[in-house]
Amino acid sequence: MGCLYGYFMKQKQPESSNQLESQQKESKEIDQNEQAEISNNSSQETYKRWQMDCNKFKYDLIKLNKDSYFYVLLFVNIQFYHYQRDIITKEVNQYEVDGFLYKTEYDEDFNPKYILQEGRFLINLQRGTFELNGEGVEFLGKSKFRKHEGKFQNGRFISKQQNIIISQNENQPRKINNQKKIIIKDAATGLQINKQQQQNRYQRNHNQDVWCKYNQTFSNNDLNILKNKGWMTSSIIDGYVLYLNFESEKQYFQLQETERKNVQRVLFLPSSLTTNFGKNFTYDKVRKLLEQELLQYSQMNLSIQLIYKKVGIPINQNNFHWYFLLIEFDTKVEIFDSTQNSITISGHADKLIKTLQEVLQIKCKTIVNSKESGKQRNDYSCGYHVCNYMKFVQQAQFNNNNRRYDYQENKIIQILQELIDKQTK
Amino acid sequence: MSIKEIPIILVCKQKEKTYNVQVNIESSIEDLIIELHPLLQPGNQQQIVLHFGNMILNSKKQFKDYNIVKGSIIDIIIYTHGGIFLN
Repeated sequence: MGCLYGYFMKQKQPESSNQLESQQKESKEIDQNEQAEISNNSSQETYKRWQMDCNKFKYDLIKLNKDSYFYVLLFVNIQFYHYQRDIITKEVNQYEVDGFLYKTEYDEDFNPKYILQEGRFLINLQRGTFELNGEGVEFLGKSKFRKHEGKFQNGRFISKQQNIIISQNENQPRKINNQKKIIIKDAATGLQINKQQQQNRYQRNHNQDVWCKYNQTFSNNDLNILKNKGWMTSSIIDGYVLYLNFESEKQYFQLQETERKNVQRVLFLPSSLTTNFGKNFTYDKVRKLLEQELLQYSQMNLSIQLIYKKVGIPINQNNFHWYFLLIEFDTKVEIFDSTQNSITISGHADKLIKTLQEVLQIKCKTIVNSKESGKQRNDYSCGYHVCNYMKFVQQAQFNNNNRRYDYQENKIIQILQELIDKQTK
Repeated sequence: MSIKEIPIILVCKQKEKTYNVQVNIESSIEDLIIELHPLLQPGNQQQIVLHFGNMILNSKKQFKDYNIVKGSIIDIIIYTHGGIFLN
């Protein structure tokens, strides 16, 4: 405003009406150019301040390949995609920015709740608050389905709710109705396929104690598997994957910027991803499932190599064996298989690796077997070996890979027991 | 169909199956899992779990607890396991 005021003060007074018109036209042109320049300078200044504040409060700001948004701001449980333009400073450390927010909140049992919102945000970098203000969209969980569209205030939807389910007689005592029918029809044939069961209902022990932790369902059966060294289940492995990602992010953002640059970040993906590929998977199916799993990276066209250096995936082979893939972007794929049989020979991993490379647009020069493979000497422990190796890979991010690998079965069992036990918070 | 009964879609990607299902929003998640058992026939140690928007559905809760509405798509996950048999 100071510059504009100075500019207008310097203008001469017009002497005739023609002169006035021509001077007004000229003045308007100069005004527009200057305003654009001022706005450009001011936006650059604001962006510099934004960058400095991001740095000051330990956020990672990564420039993208202009797929959709230009930048992504990263912090613990937060991914915020935005442009350089239209950033306005409100108060100290507070900004108004257009963008797309992926936020994960965890309950006391570490079950995630995903908050996906797009619109104009009021952001306080110091407090780590990202609140949608004004017109915006909120999505349903981690999906592309729109939950709310309209006006938001301080992150809350304030427009009139649509498509709400109205429960009748909400103030009446609830009747317990055990006769609620569930009708299941095959989408391909349109025929009801659970008719027989309703006449002869499948009986099951309803009293089994189940609980949800780390986005998995657990029961005493899982604790007994660990206690008796039974075959490892995907719920335990995938719960551990969530835990490792959660801990990695927390540890990473506790580091100083210079230290963070040296960390080769690893993203662990759950085994359910590759299990869902099925036996005869295609490129399209893998792409679709990966897009769903990595929805928070869809704004950057799944270019996760801009954030992570490695991706780790525990894999279930035909419901009888666990092994682990560690994809190092543009370098190599390492296969960790606790048995002496090489998975590469079996061909199970080959097609998977090839398809994953195509979908993630990466080229790994070699496929190697981990030197820590082949240490299993019994008929139950491949899942424990995979968990132990994932722990080693997670820790290697922060200790420059200078620790020796050691398989400690009892220790990993203890870690997993504490992790899934409903009593442990 | 009462107002509490809604059509939803169940997808089992692993088995490439899609089901159109009519449920009462006050039914428990477990009720549906019980109905799915004979259809999907998981093994002894396997378990059927339902996910909605990548969030696990607690079997003890009801559909209405998760804001599940008409046309919602729910993923069926069959948990796997492994140990390996050595010759």
